[in-house]
Amino acid sequence: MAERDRFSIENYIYENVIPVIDSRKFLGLGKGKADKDSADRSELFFFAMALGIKEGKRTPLATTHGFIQDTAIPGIGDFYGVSNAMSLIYSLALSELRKEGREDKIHDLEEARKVAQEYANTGFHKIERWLNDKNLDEETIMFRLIGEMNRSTASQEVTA
Amino acid sequence: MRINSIEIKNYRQHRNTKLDFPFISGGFDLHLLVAENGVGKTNIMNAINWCLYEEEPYATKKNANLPLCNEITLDEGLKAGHASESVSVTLNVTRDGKRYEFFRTVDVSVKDPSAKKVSKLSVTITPENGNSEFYEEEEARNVAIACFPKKIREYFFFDAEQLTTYFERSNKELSVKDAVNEISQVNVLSAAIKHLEGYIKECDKTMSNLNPKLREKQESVDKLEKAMTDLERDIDDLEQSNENARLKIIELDKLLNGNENVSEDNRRYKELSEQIDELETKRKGLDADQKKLISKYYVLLSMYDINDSTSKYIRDKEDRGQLPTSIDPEEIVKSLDAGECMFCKTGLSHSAEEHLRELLKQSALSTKAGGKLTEIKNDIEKACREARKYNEAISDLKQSIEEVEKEKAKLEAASEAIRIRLNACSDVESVSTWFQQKEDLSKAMRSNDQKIGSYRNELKNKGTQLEDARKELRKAQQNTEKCDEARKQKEVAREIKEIIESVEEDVSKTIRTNMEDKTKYWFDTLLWKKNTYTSIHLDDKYDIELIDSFGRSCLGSCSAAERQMLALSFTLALHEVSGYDGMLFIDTPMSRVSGENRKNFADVLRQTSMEKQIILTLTSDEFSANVREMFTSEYRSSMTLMKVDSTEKEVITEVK
Repeated sequence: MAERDRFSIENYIYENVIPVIDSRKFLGLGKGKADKDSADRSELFFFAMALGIKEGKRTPLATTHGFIQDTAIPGIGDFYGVSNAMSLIYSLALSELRKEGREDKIHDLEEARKVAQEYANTGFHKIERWLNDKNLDEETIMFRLIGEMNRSTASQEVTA
Repeated sequence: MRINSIEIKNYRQHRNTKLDFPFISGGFDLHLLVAENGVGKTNIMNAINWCLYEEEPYATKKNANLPLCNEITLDEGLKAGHASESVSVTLNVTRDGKRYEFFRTVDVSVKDPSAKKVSKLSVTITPENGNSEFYEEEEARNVAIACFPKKIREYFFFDAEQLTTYFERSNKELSVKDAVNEISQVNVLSAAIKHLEGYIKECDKTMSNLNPKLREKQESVDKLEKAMTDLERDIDDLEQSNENARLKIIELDKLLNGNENVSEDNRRYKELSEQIDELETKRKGLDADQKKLISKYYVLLSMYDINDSTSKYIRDKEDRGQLPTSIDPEEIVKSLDAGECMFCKTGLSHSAEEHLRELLKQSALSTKAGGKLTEIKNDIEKACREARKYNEAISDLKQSIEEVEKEKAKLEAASEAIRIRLNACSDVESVSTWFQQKEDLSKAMRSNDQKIGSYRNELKNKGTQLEDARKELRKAQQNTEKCDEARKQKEVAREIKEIIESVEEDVSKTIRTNMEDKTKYWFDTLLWKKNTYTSIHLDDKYDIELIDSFGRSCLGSCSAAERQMLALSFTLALHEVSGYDGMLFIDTPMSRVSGENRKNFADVLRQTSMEKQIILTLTSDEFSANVREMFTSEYRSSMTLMKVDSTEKEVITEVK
C-alpha cells in the first residue's frame, strides 16, 4: 500500500533497477553510498516521470515502495528553475484531470502523486530496458535523448 | 703683628689724636690708654674697626646716632663755609717684617652730616728693604682682612665690658669653634677638604661626561668584524660553489653534445601530457554537465506542452474572472441540494434556484482548486521559460566540448610528433637528467651571483659601519684613558682628603685639649680662689664648661669677674695654642675685677706682653695703685693719659 507522505515506485524497480542505476551512475542520476555529488533521488524520479510522459503512458504500480518523501520535492525546484518542483507534479496532474473533466481535484495531493508515480513507473521500466540492452551504452542513450530534445524544440514552439 | 700707631682725625670726639705704641726689643710690649669713662677709649677701638672694615661694632646707641665727624669740626666748617669736612683714621701696623699703613677717609657734609657717604680705604705696604706698594679699594680691603681677619676680630679687639656674654654663642657672628679654626688655621685644612670634595665631584662629572661605554663599542666592533668575516666566508663559499657548478656544466655539455633538443623535447612532452590530462579532466567535467543538462531539460521539454497548456488554462480562468474564485461551487451545490440558502437558511425560489445553477456553470473550480492553480501559476510559467533556454544551453555546452576536443587533438598531435623524435634517442631519461642538472646548476649559479652581489653590498656597508665603529671605539678608548686618569686623580684626591680629614681631626682634637689646658692655666693664674674650679671642658663645638670642686658645671653661676677672667683666659689660650701672631686690644679689662683678681689680671697681661703686643684702655679706677705699680714699674711700657677739653668734644692725649 502506498505510503501517504511520500512518492513510491514499484518494489521490483526499487530492488532491481535502482541498484543498477546507482552502480553505473546512469546519466549521473545514480546515488553512491558516500557520493556527495550524486544526484538527488528526486531528479531520478522526475527524469523517469519525463520518460513516461514522453512515452505518453501511465503504468499503474504493481507494488509500492516508498521512494521520496513529499518534503524532498520542493528542494529541487532550483534545479529546474522553479521555486517548488511540486508545481510540475500538479501541472501534470491537471493535464490528466482535465482529460477526465475532474480539474476541480487539482488540489488533491494523492491524485497528483498517483499520476506522477504512474508516469515515473513507465519511465523506470524504460530505463530498465535500456540497462538490460547490451547493445546500448550510456553515450548512445545520451545522444538519443539529445536528439529527442532537439527534435522536440524543432517541432514544438519551445523556442518561441 | 703689632700696631705701631694710630692717627685719628675728626672721628667722633677725636679731632686729632695720635697714639704711638713704640716697640722696644726684649721689653714688655704693653701700652696703657688711661682715661675716664666717656672720654673716647672705646671709640679708639671703633676707629680701628672703622678704618679696617668700615664698621663700629662697639659703638653705643648714642654714638651710632651722632655724626661720624667731630662736632666742633663740623661747627667750624659750617662757620667757615666749608661744604664738607674730612674724617680719617691712619693705622700703622707691622706684620712679618713689613709695615702696613691703612688709611680710611670720608668727606662728611657739613650741612647734612648724617648723610651717607662712601669712604675710601687705601694701604701702603713697605717692606724692610724695598719699595712701597700702594693698594686701594677692593685690594686694600683684602689686605686689611688678611692682616686682621674680620671673622675673628673679637679675639684681638676685646671689649671687656662684653666679656660676660662672651660664651653665649647667639651673641657672636661666628661660632667659637669656627673662630678657633680660623685663628689656628685649621680652616685651611677645612678649605682644603672642601676643595678636594669639589675636585672629587669634578672628577665624577668628568667621568660621567666622558661616558666611554668602551665595552659596548668594543662589542659593536667585534660584532661587525664577525659579520664581515662571515660575509666574506659566505662569498668565498658561493664563489667556490659557482666554480664547481661551472666545471660540472662543462662536463654536462660534453654529455649533452648532439642531444641538445632531447631534454627540451622531453620536458615539452611531459608538459603536453599534463595539459592533455587537464583537458581530459575538463572534458569529463563537461560530460557531467551534459548529463545534468539532459536530466534537467529532458524533464522540462517533456513537460513543455503540458506546462504550456496548464499555463494557458490558468490564464483563461483568470481572464474569465474565475481566478481567484469568489464563490465556492461546493456551497452552491449544497444549497441546491438542500433547497435553501446555506448562508441565510431561507428556502430557494425557482428564480433563485435558476440563478444558482447559472453561477455554478460559471464557477467550475472550488476555492481549493483555484488556490492551487494560483499557487503553481508562476512556477509553471517559469518552467516554460526555462525550457526555452535549452537550445542556448546545449549549444554552449556543445561548443565548450568541441573546443576542448579541438585543443586536445591539437596537443595530442604535438605530443605525438615529439614522441616520435624522442624515440630516436637511446637514453632520454639520462639526457633529461643531465639537462635538468645543467639547468639546476645554472639556476643555482644565477642565484649565487645575486647573493654574492647582495653580500658584497652588505660587506661594503658593514665596512663603512666598521670604520665608524672603530672611530667610536678609539674615541671611547681615549675617553677611557681620560676616565682612568680622572679616576686615579679622584682616588688620590680622596686619599689626600682622608689624610687631611684625619689631620684636621687630630689637630682639632689637639687644639681643643691644649685649649682646655691653657684656658685652665690662665684661669688659675688669674683667679685668686685657687681650688674652687677643678677643670675646664670644651666640647666639639667649643662650648665651654667650667667644673667646680664638686664636679658640677657652674659657668652659669659664676660672677661677672670670673666670666671676664675666663673669657680672657680663653682668648690668651687661643692666641697661644693657635700660634696666631696677633696683638690684643682690650677695652677696660678690669672694670669688674677687684682685689687679688685685679692684681693677677694685671700680672697676666704684663707677662703676656712679653710675647705679644697688648694695648689696654683703663679707667682711672681700674688704674689703681697696685695696677699702676705693676704696670709702670716697667719703663718699657707706654702710657697715654687721655682727657677731653672743656667742650667734652675733643680728646687731649698726654704721653707719660
